Amino acid sequence: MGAEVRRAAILHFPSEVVDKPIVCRVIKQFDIEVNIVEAHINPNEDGMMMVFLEGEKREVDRVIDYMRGYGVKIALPEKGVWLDETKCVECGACVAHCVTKALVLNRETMRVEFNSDRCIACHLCIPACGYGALKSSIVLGD
Amino acid sequence: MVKRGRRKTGLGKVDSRIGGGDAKGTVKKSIEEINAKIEKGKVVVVTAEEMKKIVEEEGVRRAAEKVDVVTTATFGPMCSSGALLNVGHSKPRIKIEEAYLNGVRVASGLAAVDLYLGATALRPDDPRNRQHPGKFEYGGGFVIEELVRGEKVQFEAYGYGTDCYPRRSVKTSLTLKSLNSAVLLNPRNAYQSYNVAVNADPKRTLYTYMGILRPNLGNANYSTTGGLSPLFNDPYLRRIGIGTRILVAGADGYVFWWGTQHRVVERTEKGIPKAPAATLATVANMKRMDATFLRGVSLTGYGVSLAVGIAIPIAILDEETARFCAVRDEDILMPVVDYSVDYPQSTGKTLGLVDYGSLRRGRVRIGGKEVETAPLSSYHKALELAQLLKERIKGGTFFLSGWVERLPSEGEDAELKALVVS
Repeated sequence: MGAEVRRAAILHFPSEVVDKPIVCRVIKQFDIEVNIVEAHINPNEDGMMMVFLEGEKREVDRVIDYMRGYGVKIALPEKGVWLDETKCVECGACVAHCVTKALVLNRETMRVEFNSDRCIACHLCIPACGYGALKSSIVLGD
Repeated sequence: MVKRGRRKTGLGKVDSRIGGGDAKGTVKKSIEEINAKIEKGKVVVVTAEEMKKIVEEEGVRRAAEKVDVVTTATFGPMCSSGALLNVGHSKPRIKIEEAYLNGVRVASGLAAVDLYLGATALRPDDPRNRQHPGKFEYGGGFVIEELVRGEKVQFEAYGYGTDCYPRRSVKTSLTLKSLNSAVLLNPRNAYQSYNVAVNADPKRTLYTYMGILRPNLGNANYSTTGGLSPLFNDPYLRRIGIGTRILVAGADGYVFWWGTQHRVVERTEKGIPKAPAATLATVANMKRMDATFLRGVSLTGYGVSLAVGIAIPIAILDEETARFCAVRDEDILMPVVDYSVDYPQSTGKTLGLVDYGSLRRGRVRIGGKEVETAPLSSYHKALELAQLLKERIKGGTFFLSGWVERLPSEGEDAELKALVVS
């Protein structure tokens, strides 16, 4: 048995494949859980989905290859976004843009907390930070 | 003869008609008495956070007897800020007409080597919003921060040449230390209340000076430290006025005038203004500042700004002052403004009021919808500043100054005029 993993993935569906039931097939054919965090899918337009893929590492890797076979572009953030504490002023302007609640403002202490395990590197927080404290080096893979 | 009556200048009259009530009660102290206590190391100083608890537990009168000074603070982007620099005279001399610091345009038009670097100034070649939303990665706010950090800054200036100022150009590097003088001279800081910004557009994301606003009331952004904020603790400006000594980015400074766009608006029963109201013009020596509390800011799609930390002591001279310093988060009501239409078109419409307590807790109800809130001001940094000021006063290195004039509370100087475009 391989190790269980939980991988964040950002799926980009080119308009040619957006009508194919790719995620449905993944769930039927592979022994993994697909936790959809956010999805923007419309007919004839490029689609986007942020997911957590949970299961045995080999199985998760097979799912990624399978989806790429359909032409889905997949970004796999290894460490996601990182928070530069020397730049962060702990205002909290980022938290309204964090869909997975990896960035939260503790409303008692009014301090910003970052739980990198929850980060799916969607990057929505990066332009919301005025101090350049949130950074990422993710490149969209083919 | 020129009449220079107070009525004409609109400076607040020093009497009870000003609002906020007379000094009721038996506690009476003076700035001099409190400064004598600071000198002897016997002063009692608490932060505005601590004061609220003291008033709640012991009552207004006991709190006013016991506490001499309450420290308040705020930290957030304040676009109407900038550095007044005198770069010193070169050999031969130059009368500067056009100047740049690290490529950022500096305002001239004063005497030969006096320059003003505005927080929002950009490099001429900055792409701005040509590809919307622009990143605005560098500008005046960042140059100011780098100067305060002690970093070397590239300086370039041009003049047309005169008999007394023959030089036509100069290019060199300079540091804060090498500057003849450098003061932060901010025309508008520390807003008493401000808009809570939302976006009611169904589709379009907005990139504003209040941060990124998602469509359909996706988030509500605010910028205040609420019960810790200076002017919410002194709503009728009974203690904070022209000449009040304050801390600007950690350095001793002063309120030198009322801030631009200062105005008096309708208040709640407890005296809290229901819209953006009083503002302060502040000044302090940049050479004594701490860059922890002065930071360049890039606001995506909007521009560059400067986050400024300001701490203001409030002398508890009477019970009324103590009562105002006990303002609760729930009592602070702020207007919700739609930045998709009402702010840019200046319609004056609001979507109602929300209280700071809810804003701080993270959710407000706007038009029947629960909306997540996010601050642009840093409460944590402001609290650090309030504590720093408290320690300075306790340690006998910061003395209080009363105002020499009150800020305008009525008349032309307390009203806002629009630009009429014919």
